[in-house]
Amino acid sequence: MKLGLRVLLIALLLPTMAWANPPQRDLPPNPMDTDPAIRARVLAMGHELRCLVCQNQTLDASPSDFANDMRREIAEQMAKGLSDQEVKKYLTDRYGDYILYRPEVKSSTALLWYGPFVLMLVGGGVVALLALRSRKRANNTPLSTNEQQRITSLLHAKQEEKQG
Amino acid sequence: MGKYLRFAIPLVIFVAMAVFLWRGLYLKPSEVPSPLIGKPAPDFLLPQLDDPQKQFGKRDLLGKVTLLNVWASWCASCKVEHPILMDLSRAGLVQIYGLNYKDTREEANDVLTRAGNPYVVNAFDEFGKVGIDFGVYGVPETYVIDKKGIIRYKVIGPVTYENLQKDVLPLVKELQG
Repeated sequence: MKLGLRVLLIALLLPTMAWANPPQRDLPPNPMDTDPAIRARVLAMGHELRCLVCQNQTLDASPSDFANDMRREIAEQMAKGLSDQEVKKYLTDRYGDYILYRPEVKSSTALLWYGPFVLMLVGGGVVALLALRSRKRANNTPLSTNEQQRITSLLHAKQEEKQG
Repeated sequence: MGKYLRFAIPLVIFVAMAVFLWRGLYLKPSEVPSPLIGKPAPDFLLPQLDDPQKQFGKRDLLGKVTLLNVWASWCASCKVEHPILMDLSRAGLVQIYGLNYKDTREEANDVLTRAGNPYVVNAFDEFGKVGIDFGVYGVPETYVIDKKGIIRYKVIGPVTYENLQKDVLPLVKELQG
């Protein structure tokens, strides 16, 4: 790559946020490692949460440091006795609804959840209406005398073809 | 008039879509809005970065408008932001406090010695626990906190001259009254 292009690329990438190599620290043991029940709950909840660093991944699937921290935090809260629901509230209080990978069904997300079905019904309704209207128009428009004659002669021609 | 109506409908739909898509070009979906805006900053008390015997906590932020800058020595964007923070601290418009996030004392103090120290004081959030309470998900992030300790704004990513000028400083001025 040309030097100028390389410099440009680096300059463009620098303003992004960095989650690079935090140092090792001494921490108390992770409840995920000491309590299998908590481990199971944390891993299950990981499917329902979003990794905010790799935002299209669930917390469960993400290898990022942030995801590790979140899992540990969740484990520690569970070790304190919080239920799954309470842990989710703990997280949304701090990070907002976006940390839930599956958006809750509430008034502000109603459009998201029900919108596609509503649109499908509306679309289906429009199609049905148009089909009905065109069929009605077809039934209501009588054949002109010219068209009548042409159909009769065509039908006779077909009959003669079959017999002949 | 009636027969033009069927042409108007697709046009209206198109214009509506165009407006939303145009608006969408200016959205930043990777920035997660903080639910803490307008809420009191989480209460915290941590050892200071430079002196483990001393502490720095929320109580030290009260009574004045402050910026709380979350940073670390291992964070590349923080290096880009640092000179701007130095300028800001020299300008004396607002006091900058630091939350040193998941770092080592040695490396963090090294940065401040080499590149300058724009902070009044730094809290040493070794394990990032206080960061989680603040809803930190990346570094750097900067919070604008008012005199009563309420979070009023969050800068996601590095502080720049642009976001200082457009978003942060006008708010700081307004909060200072």
